[in-house]
Amino acid sequence: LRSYLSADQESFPAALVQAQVEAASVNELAGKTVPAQSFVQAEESGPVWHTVGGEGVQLTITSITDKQVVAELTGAAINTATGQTAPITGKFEGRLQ
Amino acid sequence: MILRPCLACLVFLAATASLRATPNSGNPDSAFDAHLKDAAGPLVAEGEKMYQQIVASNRKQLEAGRPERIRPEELAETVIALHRLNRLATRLERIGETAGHDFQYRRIEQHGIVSRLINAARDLPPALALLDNARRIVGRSNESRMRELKQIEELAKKGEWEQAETRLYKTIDQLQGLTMLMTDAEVRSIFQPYSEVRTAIDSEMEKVRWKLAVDLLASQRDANAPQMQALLQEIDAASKAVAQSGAAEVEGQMLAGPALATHFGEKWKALQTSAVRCRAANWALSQVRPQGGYNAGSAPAGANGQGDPLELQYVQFRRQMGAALAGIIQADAGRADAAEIESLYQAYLSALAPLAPNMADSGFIALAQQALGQLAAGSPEFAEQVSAYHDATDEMLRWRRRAAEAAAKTKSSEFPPAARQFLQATQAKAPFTGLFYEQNPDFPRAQLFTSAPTVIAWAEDKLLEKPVWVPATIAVAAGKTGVSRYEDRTYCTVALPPAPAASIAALERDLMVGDSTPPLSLAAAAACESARRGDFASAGGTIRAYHLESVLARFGNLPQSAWVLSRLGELPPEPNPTELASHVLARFDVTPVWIRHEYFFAELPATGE
Repeated sequence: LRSYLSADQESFPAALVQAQVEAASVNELAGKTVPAQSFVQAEESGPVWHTVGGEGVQLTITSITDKQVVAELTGAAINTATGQTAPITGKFEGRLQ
Repeated sequence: MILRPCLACLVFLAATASLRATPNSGNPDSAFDAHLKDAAGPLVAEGEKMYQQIVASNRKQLEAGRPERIRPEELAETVIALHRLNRLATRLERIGETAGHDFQYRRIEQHGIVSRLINAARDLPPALALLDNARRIVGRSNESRMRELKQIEELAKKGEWEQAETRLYKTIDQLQGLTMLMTDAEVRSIFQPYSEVRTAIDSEMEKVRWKLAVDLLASQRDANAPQMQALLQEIDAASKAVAQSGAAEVEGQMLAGPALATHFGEKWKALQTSAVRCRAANWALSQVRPQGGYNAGSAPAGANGQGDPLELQYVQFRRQMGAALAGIIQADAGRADAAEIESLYQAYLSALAPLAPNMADSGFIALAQQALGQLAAGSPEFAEQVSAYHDATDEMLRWRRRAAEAAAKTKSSEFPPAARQFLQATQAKAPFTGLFYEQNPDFPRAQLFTSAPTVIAWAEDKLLEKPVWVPATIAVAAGKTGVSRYEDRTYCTVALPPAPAASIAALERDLMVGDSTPPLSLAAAAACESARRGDFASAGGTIRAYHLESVLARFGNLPQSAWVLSRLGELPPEPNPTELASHVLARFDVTPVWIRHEYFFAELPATGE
């Protein structure tokens, strides 16, 4: 899941949430909770909240239709500015591409 | 049982030799390494020994505490040693050796101490007795000295300059000690008869030594001239063979495309080392300058603002090399059948992974990716896998890099760059004359304005145990040490911590890399390879030791393994290569406290934990 279409069209705040899953189709993921890596950056050149080296986050796929996905994440991320870990939660709604 | 201690000895000797080679915080009195190792190396070793004896003698006299305890006979020996050191330093200076410039500063400092000791002891009974005795010896030996002088003049007339020089300075050195306490008028009168022949001998011997140094440097330059076109032609021929049969014979071996890429990558590293040595020999040639004028050539290449032709050719060469290496892959792409595509593709990734991140040409990765894409296209099913892999990992890598960069950036105020630490620790501040002027320091051109031992001592509390930012490092010595890129007259060695296993495992997990699932993109392969090797994008740590090195000697004698001081395809930067004989660079040995890999950041446990 990402907040932009492609790297050269990225705008801020920007986020990437990525999970490795085994499923025959996207629809199979509906209702599932999977471990994921996440990155969030509020502004360009600002600190990044990320899960690299941390516990990661849990991503719950709330619903999936042909063109729309809704997902929620919860967990903890590290702030690069402070090196500290803090809880993060978020909700994504986006188009499937 | 026997081999183990022998190897340990060899390692120990190598480490000792390296410590002796150049002034450093553990041994400030070491001399600079010689650029002309065979011709000047023995002289440098001799000068180092002389200097250490002078220092030991002066220290003993100073520690005596009271003028009555000063031993004038020992002072006379030191005076002789100082004159010898002066001669030796001048010889080294004239052939462009940094050690010569340093010995001159050391001599001046020690001469100042001796002068003060002489003045303190001059009117005391032991010195007065020595003076009386010296006058008697000089008076009694006058006749024999004049006979010796005549013979020296005969030798000079016959052109036997070296023998004449040896005999002349044997006499003159003795007289320097004997006349130490005499009046200026006495000294002038004693030395006057030697003046004419001395000038002639000095002048002739300088010409001989100048010629020798020029010949040696020219031969060093020619022997190291990088054979760029030959390497390109070799790769071109190999590519043509790969296009035909999937392999080429090089140096008696049949190698497939991926092995050829590795082979030519290694040859490029060797060529780069040669190019660095060749350029340094050129710089040194411009420094070989006997008193009175003529030198080996005009200003060194690159000093006129037009750019060094070698550097310009090398920039062009690196682009051609990138295209030539990609050409090998393209040759395979045009030939290989679908069944062998996957294994060939992965073999190429393995071959290019250690090279690609160290390339100076930023276009190489795109070029290689394009060629790899052409190769993968030979198997539509595999090409689809590769494309899916890119989709799944390219953004992950981009974000990982961004997070690692941001984490390292927070350390920038706490860990100043090595070059800035070097400048601040060695910039002139009266009475210290340092390596940079107090005003307009001409950074980064660090130059000796005082002796290396003085610089080392002055900088100690400004450098040792102080934090420092280390630029990109490459692991050498079986992964035990990281050597940083050279920038602004500094480079660092980093004692590498054990591989950060958790970070590497997380990276491989994110890239879906395992024993049976290799990476499928060049970026991912390079990421895993560099993480396992211990190559880092930057590091922060504390300075454990520091060394001063001669610029000319460092690059003139660059060992093959030290190609890592600059990226493949660029020569270590030197913005204005003039008057480099007295120029120095710094090496910091660093204990890291954090490391930043291209794709992760890790704080390290404190030493001993």
